[in-house]
Amino acid sequence: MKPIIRLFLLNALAFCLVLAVLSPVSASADGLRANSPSSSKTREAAFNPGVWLLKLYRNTISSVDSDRCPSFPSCSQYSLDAFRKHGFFTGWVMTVDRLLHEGKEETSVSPMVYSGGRWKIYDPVENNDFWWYHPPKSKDHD
Amino acid sequence: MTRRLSENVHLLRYPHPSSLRRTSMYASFLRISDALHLSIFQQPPMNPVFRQAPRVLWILPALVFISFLLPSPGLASRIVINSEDQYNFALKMMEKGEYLIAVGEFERFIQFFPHDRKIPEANFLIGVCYLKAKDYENARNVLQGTHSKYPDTEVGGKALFWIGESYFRQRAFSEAERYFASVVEHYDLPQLKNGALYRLAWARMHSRKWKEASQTFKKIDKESDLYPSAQELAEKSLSGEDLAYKNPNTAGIMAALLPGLGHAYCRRYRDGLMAFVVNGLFIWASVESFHEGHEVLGGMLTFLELGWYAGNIYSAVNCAHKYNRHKKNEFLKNLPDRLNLHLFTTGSKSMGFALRINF
Repeated sequence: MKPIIRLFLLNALAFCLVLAVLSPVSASADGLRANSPSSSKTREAAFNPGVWLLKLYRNTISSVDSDRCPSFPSCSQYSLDAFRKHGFFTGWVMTVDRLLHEGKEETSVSPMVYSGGRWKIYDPVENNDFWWYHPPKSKDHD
Repeated sequence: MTRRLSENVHLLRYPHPSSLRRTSMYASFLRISDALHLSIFQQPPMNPVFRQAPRVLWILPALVFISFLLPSPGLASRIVINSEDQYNFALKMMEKGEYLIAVGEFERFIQFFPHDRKIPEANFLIGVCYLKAKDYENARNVLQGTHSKYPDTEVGGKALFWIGESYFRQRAFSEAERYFASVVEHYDLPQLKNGALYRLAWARMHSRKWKEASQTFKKIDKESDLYPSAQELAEKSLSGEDLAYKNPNTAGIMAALLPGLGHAYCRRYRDGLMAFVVNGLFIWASVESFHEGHEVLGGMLTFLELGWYAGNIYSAVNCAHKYNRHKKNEFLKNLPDRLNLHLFTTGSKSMGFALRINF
């Protein structure tokens, strides 16, 4: 491989890493604005590579693949929610967590719901960030 | 004569003028037909003013009929609703579980009877209706407004209690604790205070502050209906300390040392095996890539492996927390919660909520 191409690819990788590191900062900043009406629009407007990749996956692979996810919401939807709620890096880590724990053993600690004609494990993002994420308090009630 | 009549009987039905003119019955027939219908042969000459009369005669009754169909304050019976009726109707809607309709009716009550003595109660009940409809944000806004407007009254205390209750229902126990503690601190009404203490102790149990919860249960007055239950819970809550929890930090460290080990610590062996295999494959592929001189591929695989490795640690810690939550919930499920909140809808001078004992 030519040195120039190698350099280009390494730079691209470094850029991805920087994005990954910076994304939690933007996510927490969004969290602070969560009560403002424009916060959801801001989150949607900000470019999130995780959301982009997920949409690509859902529009190409998932649309022709059958629904085999044993959990509700599906893993791709969960991942999308996690990326939107916590930014790229944390969303990525939570997606990995979901892929690891979506098996039968999860039924011992999570409830079941009937969806799409069968019983599924109810495992939304809130079920996996409850021990560290607390929604911002409203000033009116302090 | 009889024969001629029988021969020409069809002429009575469909008479032809020319033939009738030739018969001697013509004159008599004309008299009969005139009596039956004037327009068989010709219209009688009419006055132009008289010609319009029948149309006018039809229009007038039609207008009268339409006027009956239209809502007319002049014709309708007047309904008078007093403040008591309006308030009771709103309560009725609330009891039926039509909470948003009840909100509208309470607001109507406030709009039309702004000086009624039940205005504070109506404001408070709007908040409770929102809460029961699970619109917690609106409920808190209304209840906070009620509390701010009537801070030193019973309604103000109840509003503060129900703000705490809204957080309790949303499982935001630390916030709930704050509000229940505030009710206990600022209001001396026995029933309200004991209810708040009871709920405060429950919130502390949910937060796994077992000793504090036990002490809080013990503070409930002996005169209270909740006293026996509180004494029982004060003892039982201490058993929460002895539940077999998993330490999330231990799970995280174990997962960091060897992917999958943290899951095994939380008794999730399949998940642990999966974490071990996936991480092992990515590490092996990365090492082989670098060994073969494919630095870029090795870098990309390492980058992906970092995600799997971090996810493995997060997953182990998460598993420990979920395990502990499950244990705690199973334990709490077996404890009796004797506090049921019921709004009085009879207009009696009650606290606004009742404490019901279930045996």
